[in-house]
Amino acid sequence: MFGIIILLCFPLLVLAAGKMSSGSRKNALFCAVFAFIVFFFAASGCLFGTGPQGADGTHLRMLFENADSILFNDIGSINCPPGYMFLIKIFSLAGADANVFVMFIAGLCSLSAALFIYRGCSSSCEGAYIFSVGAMVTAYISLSAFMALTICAHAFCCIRDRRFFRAAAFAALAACFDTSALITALYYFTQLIPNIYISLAVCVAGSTAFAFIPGMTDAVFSIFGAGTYCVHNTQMLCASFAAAGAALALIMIPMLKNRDADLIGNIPLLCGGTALMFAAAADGRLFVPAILLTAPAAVILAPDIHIISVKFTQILFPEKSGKAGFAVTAAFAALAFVPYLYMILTGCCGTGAFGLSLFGEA
Amino acid sequence: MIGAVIDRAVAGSSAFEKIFRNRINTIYRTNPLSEGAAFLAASAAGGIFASFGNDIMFIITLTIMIAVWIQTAFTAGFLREWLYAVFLLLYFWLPGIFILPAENLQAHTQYMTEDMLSDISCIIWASPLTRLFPWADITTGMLITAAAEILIFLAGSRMRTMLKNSAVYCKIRLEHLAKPE
Repeated sequence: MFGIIILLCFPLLVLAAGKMSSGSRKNALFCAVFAFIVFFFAASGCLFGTGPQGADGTHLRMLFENADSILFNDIGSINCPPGYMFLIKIFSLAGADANVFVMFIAGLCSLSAALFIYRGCSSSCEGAYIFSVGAMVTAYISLSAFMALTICAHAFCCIRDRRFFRAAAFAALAACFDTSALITALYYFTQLIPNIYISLAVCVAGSTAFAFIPGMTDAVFSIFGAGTYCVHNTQMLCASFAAAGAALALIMIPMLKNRDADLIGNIPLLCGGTALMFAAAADGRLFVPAILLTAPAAVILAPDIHIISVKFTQILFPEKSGKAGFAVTAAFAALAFVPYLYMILTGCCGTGAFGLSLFGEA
Repeated sequence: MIGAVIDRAVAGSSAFEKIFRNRINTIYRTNPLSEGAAFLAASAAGGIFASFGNDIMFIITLTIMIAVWIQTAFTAGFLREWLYAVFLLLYFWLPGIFILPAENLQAHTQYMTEDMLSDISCIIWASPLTRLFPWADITTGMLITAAAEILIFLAGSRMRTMLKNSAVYCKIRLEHLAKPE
């Protein structure tokens, strides 16, 4: 009960921070609602032992109970992000339990939300996107990925202030929790490059380079739209690269040409969101929280997707932007619906095996 | 000398003046506490990947760690944040004195550290140093790193003194003083 009360306090804290800062009340409310939804689903398994994240909660408790006997050099064998294990050991050493650990993460995320608001989000979407991405990642893996994106939010703030070394430090720390965060930071950094083609080249080159780093493959694919279950399939891998390159070009060129900061801030969500929903959907147990958490993000971002589509068609088809714009918008909408359809299918089957079998991995 | 060089460079290029102004503004907006946080974040990342066994990520994070250490020490020296020097000494000496006795360090190098506190300390403190200086023992590595950081700190402080001869720098500082944040 105490945990629930603390959990309910977080949105109020974020609201209070927003009220004190220069950010608008709308942004604060928006972030608070998102933070609350994410924390509830992320923490429910750990706090109650059951629920959408029940398996993760069990895993977390097991790690806490054995923290003193698990050596850091053994982390690779227990499939745990190194930064996550590092924190668990510190909390375990201090006598805390899994619930306190979850509360810590929730507090850190609230602070990040407040920081985003304080630094002046240019739109509510920008302030919320980190939470919506985090929500999807959280639904898929564990709290550690959410932790990574939260730390990454601090890197974004440093990039905005042109403090690149500091941004690199926080991005590197975030990578200890989930390597996707490093690429997310890279995408955010490219908005500072004035030439759009160089920006695009940096994104593609950077992401491709990461693909060759052991342990980073999942990150590349989760961001690029392939889904984490494609990594063992060569054909899917090649197709994913092609699709990812095309998607990135579609999204980035028109946005960077117009220097639209609001839309640029949504790049990671647009590129990675769909893939992460795929990944979440592949685990049938998580389809309900995945739908609940990603649906609001999709609804909120729909206008952005529409604007991107229109801008893109204005560049490609300057004389027929009306109909072509509608067609591309419809195509984007259809693409956005695919993961939801997939989630419903896997959810109806009641097991993740069906989802995995679609990718030939079952 | 540095001041004259800066003035000549600024006179020849407005782009350089913009960059120089931006850097000076950024340095004077820096909060020492957040610099310390960046220092610890970079150290933790470098140490974690140094222990984890992923060589490429280890090289990336260790490069970031060294760059952040240098930049932080220089900025702290420029701002004359002498507490930072104390922080450095504590960072490099406390774990060695209170947490990591020689036998634990030896155990760490053999991946046999049983004590949790030693294991944690080794991750963020000893691992990067042992990987940076594989030919030296941990104490030598610690001394080299601490000495280098202090030297960079002093270089930053010296740089500020030398910049006082620059007309552009003085102009920027006068603007700061006339319009405090």
